[in-house]
Amino acid sequence: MSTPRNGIFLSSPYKGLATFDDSDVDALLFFGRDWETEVVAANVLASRLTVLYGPSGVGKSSLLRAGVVRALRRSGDPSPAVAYFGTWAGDPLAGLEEAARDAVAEALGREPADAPGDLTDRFAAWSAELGAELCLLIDQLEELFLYHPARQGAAGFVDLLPKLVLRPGLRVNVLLGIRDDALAQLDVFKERIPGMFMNSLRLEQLDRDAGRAAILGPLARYAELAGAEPR
Amino acid sequence: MSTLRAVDSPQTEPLRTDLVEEAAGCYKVHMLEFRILGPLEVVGKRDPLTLGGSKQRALLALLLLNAGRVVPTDTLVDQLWGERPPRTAVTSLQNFLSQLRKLLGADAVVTKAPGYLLRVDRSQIDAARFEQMLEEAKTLEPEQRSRKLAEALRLWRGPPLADFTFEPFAQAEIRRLEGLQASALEERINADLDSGRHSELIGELESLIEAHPLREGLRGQLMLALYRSGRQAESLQLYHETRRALVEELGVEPGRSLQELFARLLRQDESLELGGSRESPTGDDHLEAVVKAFSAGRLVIMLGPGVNAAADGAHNGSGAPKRDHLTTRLAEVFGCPEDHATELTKVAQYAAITRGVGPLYDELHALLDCEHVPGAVHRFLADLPAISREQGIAHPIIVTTNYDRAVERAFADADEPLDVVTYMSIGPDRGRFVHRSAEGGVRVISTPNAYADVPVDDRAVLLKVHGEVDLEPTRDAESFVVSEDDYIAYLAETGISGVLPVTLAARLRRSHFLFLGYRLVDWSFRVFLHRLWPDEQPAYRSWAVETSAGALEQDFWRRRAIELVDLALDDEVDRLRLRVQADRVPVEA
Repeated sequence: MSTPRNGIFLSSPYKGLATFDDSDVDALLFFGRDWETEVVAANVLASRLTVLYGPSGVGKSSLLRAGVVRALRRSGDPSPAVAYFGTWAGDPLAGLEEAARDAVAEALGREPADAPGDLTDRFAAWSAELGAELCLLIDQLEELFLYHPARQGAAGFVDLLPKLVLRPGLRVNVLLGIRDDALAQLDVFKERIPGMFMNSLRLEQLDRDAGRAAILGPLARYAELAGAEPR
Repeated sequence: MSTLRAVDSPQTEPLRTDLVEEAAGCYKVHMLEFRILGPLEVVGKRDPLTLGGSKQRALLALLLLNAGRVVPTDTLVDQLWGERPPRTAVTSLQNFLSQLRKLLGADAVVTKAPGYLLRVDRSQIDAARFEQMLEEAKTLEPEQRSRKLAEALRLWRGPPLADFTFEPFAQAEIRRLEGLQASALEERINADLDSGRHSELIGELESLIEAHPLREGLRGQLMLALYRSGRQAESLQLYHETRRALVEELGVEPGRSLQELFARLLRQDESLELGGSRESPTGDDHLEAVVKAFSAGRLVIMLGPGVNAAADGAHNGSGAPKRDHLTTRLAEVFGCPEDHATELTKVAQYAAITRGVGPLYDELHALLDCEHVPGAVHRFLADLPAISREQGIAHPIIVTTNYDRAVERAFADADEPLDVVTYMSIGPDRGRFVHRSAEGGVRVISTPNAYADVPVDDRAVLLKVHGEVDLEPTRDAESFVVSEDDYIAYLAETGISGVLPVTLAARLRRSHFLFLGYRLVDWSFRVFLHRLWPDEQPAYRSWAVETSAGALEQDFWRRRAIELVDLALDDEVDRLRLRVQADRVPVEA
């Protein structure tokens, strides 16, 4: 991992409309969501299932990728493996597995051992190998239903989620990120996961102070970085 | 039994008796051996005695399980004939007793009000000898330990008290003996593993697992035996098979210790090698682990009623009252019927039903409205924040089921700030936690999953899961989880992470727990744990400090994969204090 002050070239302090990513640079420029980051990360650690929803463009994905992922990875030793997944165009299970494997490999510092069985079996073996939780941040869930309509394509995921959330002793914690207008689509899980919405969080627009921090924070950080890194 | 392994030590002889008395035509009771590790048997010089019909045998078993103690006649009649004994019951009983005297010797059964007593020395009972041998084995080196335990296990002739499997009076003892047998076997196999006999064990473990497919301890031992025999792939394979079996049969993941073993196998951890780290229950090994958890900012200290029992002084204006004391006093004040006065939850329920919650609270308040002089444990806790600050680590979280204010007092005495989060079981905020900040603010936590204002990492936090006494005159904050209904309300909650402030819940989920003076046989103390860990086991290695825990208590801890440390609380705290202080940076050069 490159250290942020070393060899970073920033063309602008602002990301504009682009989503913040899980990178050191983005973390440096991500401001105004400290409280939300802490709360969402704590929910992921405290609960097997958290539902995070909010209006389109409010910054769910940025919060998860630039804030929550890092906060979780810093939560003590051994730290949990934290996977972010939000690309639904391909095979969702394969994508989720790949993201999880990468996350476990990063936390372990090496590739996890091969494990037989289905995806749940592998997640179980990986978290046991790690000796800590596997946190799955599964984002933009509305796209699952967009790319895989009529449930067929979604079936694998619809079967997987209840197992991940309900099996006793499985050290996998799941966060589902979804746009608030798509929330009703989660009804497909309601029968299989009692209390599906028991732990749900709504992400609001930045308030005045937080908005100010989101604008001024990156500027100050940019100036600081530019000063430390003469070009 | 197929579970026993042949060793070359000589077979234990049944107790040999003198030859003289036989001429007299009857046995003397001290010459007999009583066996309950199998069907009931009494063995004289050579052969088992004929013990007569089922009632007579049951009577003997009853007296034997209480050997040396008087068993009241009523109890004997109840146990032998049930709730509706025939009118002839007492006569029949006396008849059986006189038969037993003929069989065992005239002085064997002593008549002593209000009943009878079997005069038998513990050394004449095979179960007592078995326990004695387990005790002796503890101090031996692995090879001798294995031999001693194998010898002890050979005393077994079948299921304990086999002819009384369905008798209510035998249930507790049967369970206890079975538990002892299982742990003796496990210990013997551990001793064999420790003395390098892994390859010899594989066959035995395989057949044991066939007989007890869901016993994770045996599976773990086989995984280790295979690993040490150079069969690592099979060892890992076995973990996956075990996991599959548990998921398919019970729908659960393997327990934490098996998962940890699996992880160690994968990284070929040194501790797996022969002579690697041995965990002794009273050794200092747990101390190292506790201190490590503390230094990582991941220790939760959980206080139970035993902390007050250990506190200095009795309830005479010094020290918080003990739980037993509360029970007795409430029972007296509210005239609780004797058969109902056995535990605090019942007494409190009785008071709440017959007199109302108000009088119950008043009485509890009066009992708790005293100087809560901190004991050694409380003072130790108040010393921790300074160390956490020095080391720059997250402060430990303290959880208590006690109602008193001794922890607060200790922190005030040490001039250390403390945030308190306490459960409200009454009033408009019923079912919620209230946060009392060290700065003095009080807030009801109504959206716990968005409440991040408990300073979990930066300051000591005390979580009072059963409420607390309020010593202010207004008593606004007073709340006791004390009656059966209070616990039912607790259980009916949807999950503690939905009630506790989320940052605190997150810390609890990822922490190691150290239980001090906590106990599990009392069901009310299991309620919060059940809320905290619906899967039963804490996710990280945890310890309970309790001296001379009973067999049932041990089972409860084992089931939660929590290691029992057989130490007095004060000793534990002294050791911890020394150990933690040793890590401190000296202030002056």
